[in-house]
Amino acid sequence: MGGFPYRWRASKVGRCAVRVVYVEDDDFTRMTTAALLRDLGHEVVAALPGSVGLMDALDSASVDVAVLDLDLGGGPTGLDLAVAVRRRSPKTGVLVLSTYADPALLGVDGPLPPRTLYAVKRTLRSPEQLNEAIELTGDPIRLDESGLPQWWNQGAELPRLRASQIELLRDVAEGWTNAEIAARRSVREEAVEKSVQRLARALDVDTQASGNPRVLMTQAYVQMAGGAPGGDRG
Amino acid sequence: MCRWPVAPQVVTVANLPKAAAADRSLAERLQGWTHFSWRLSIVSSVLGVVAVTLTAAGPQPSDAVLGRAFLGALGALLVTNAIVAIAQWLARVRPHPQHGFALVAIFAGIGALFGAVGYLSTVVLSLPTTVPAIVWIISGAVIVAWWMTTAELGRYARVRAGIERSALAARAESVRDAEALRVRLSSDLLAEAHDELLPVRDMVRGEATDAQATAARIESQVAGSVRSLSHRLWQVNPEVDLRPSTVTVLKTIVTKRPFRPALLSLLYVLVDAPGWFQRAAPLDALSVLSVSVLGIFFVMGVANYLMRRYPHWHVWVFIGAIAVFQVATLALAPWHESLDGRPLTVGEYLLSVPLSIALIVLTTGFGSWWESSKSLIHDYAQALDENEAALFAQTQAAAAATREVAALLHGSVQSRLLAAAQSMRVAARRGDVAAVESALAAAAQALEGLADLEHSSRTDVNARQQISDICEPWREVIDIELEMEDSLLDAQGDVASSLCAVVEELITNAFRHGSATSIMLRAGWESRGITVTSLDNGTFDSSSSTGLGTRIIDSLGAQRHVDLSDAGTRVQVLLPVR
Repeated sequence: MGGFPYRWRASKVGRCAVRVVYVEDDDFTRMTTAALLRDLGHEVVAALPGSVGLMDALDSASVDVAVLDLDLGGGPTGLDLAVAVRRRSPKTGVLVLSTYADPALLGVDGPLPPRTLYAVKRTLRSPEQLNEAIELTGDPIRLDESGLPQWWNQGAELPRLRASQIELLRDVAEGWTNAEIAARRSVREEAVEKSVQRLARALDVDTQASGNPRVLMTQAYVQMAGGAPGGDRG
Repeated sequence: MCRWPVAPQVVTVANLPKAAAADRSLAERLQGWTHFSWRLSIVSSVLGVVAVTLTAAGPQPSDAVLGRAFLGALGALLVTNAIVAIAQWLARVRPHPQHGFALVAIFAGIGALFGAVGYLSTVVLSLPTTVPAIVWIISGAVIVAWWMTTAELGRYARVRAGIERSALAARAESVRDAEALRVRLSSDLLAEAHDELLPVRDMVRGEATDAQATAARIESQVAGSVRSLSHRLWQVNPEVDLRPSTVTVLKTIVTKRPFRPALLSLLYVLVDAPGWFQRAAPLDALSVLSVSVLGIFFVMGVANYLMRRYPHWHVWVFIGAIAVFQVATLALAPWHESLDGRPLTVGEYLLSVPLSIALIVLTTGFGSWWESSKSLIHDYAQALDENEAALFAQTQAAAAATREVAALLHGSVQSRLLAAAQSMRVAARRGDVAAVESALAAAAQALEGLADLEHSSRTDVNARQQISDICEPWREVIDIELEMEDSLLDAQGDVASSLCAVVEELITNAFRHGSATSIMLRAGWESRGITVTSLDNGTFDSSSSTGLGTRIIDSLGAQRHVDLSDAGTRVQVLLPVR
């Protein structure tokens, strides 16, 4: 096994087993994904609905990969947990799974911690791709050699938006009016109106078309985030 | 699943339009009364000047004296009108009582001038008078200052009357119905909303066959239902009867309104007392003086009480007060004297009636009008006792929570439904079945999202529980040490929400932007509000100072102070609490 950071075992599909700890707040997704991981031959050390118990799981077993949902509702996000996992167990690889094309859509900024991969859920189109993502996360040498596969996050590219524009887009998608956004940000309503117009241009939303521009912008957000703001997703 | 925190059994405000109409009616009556009393006071003043002139001229005046007397009356009339015109102009220039002191000083100056002109006219016209110049000047200053100030305040009050009364009307009813309202906004009410919207949600979930029709139903029926619910919730704003208790009114008159009868008494003493002490034994003069002053206080107190209690009967109360004063004054007729020092005849006394009326109008009419429309209401609002105030605060919090839910329904939920319907139409046109189902799921999710609203309407969870809920998931990634006063941990409502927002923000910042692994939080009351202090072992990242969390703290009106040291970062947040 040499420098491999995790133990390889025989699996049903002829691959090697990986010890996984999985955090996902949606019960159905957690249940089905954990079952799939087991079916792929991996050992699911713990499948948790939130952060509570994660460190105990890391301490109790030698975990190869932590699979973390990005949006866990209140409290720390998947990226926060990734930072904590890095500190607690440097050898554990981290795979953050999310419906968001970019963490910024959730209001989370900053770079990914080392040895952390970010995958958009809808781009994982088969169990094999999920398996490959798990293996790549746990095998940094292989990752260095081969890099990310071509299918990785394909189709989840974002328009070029600044962080402030993404935040504004979230507000629009959540249904806040310009006046409410202005009040929340302590700026003038006219400034918000101009920002929204610039955002519409950046999103290629035709403000002169028959559709409601805010609805079209909300649609753009839904497409990027994989769901409506505040909805039950990761 | 959480229940939805909405209140379909809306506390309607059926009586609110009635209250508004009553306020308008009262304002109109008061406005009419102002105009009436204004005209009456001017006419009375002119007649009073004529009466004084005739009295001063003596019982059998020569033509020359009579001519000078009419010239004096004419001059006084012109001066009076000039004063009124100037005062009205000043009132237009500075219509707000915040400039009251300057305005009163200007009016007093004009009044003093008026008094001086009056005295000079008696000198120039060689009219005999025993009243010294200083009395003319002070009387003029006081009368005009009081007259114009009360008139000006009354004008301002007329503008404000409707607003103040409406706002305070809502408060009193809130107090009365506080308990019922709170109950109706409780979970039972939310359950009803849940039951109302549940079939709608199931309908959204169940229909995927005809995407266009489903989209139309989502737009018209579902979103419409949410919109309607939000509008009904928004209208929760009960109305009120503001009339005070008798005890409150009497207490207010005794403790807060002694000025007007005192002023009237002062004028009375200044004008009449010298003659009394000249023509009677000091003890007798003092007795009559005391009885007169007490009588003034008594009559004006009763008149004030009646005017406050029955503002719509203001005019009749006022006329009644004048009648009482006149009857009382008639009894003292032998004690009165003309300006040349002789006792008044009955005819002369009757001539002095308009002057008397003018005096009473000045001191009673405008002042009472003003009180009945503004300070009256202010006093009533202040008169809420502690229990009423607590109930009122509770009701206000419940109403605010309801409105917040209404805003979220109208904004977030409705928008998401409309967005989902729009997506569904587009997907249906493309024939993308998966996208249609996705949009359908989004619509259902939007309604499910109502469950999230419950948190925003919960006012019965104390800070202890909320902070525990906040800290629990964070304890996995950062060590948290918490030290708070029990009274803070037991806090509810806005205080708890604000405190929790600050605590969560400090923890989040310490971990995300300071890379801290431990944080110590301490919170306690101080004179200006709640102080929350955090000390973590991380490094402060200045770029975090403009983030969303910072804006959340700013929106609470809090002040932040950050200290950096080798030991870590110390952040102090002062959360103002009213």
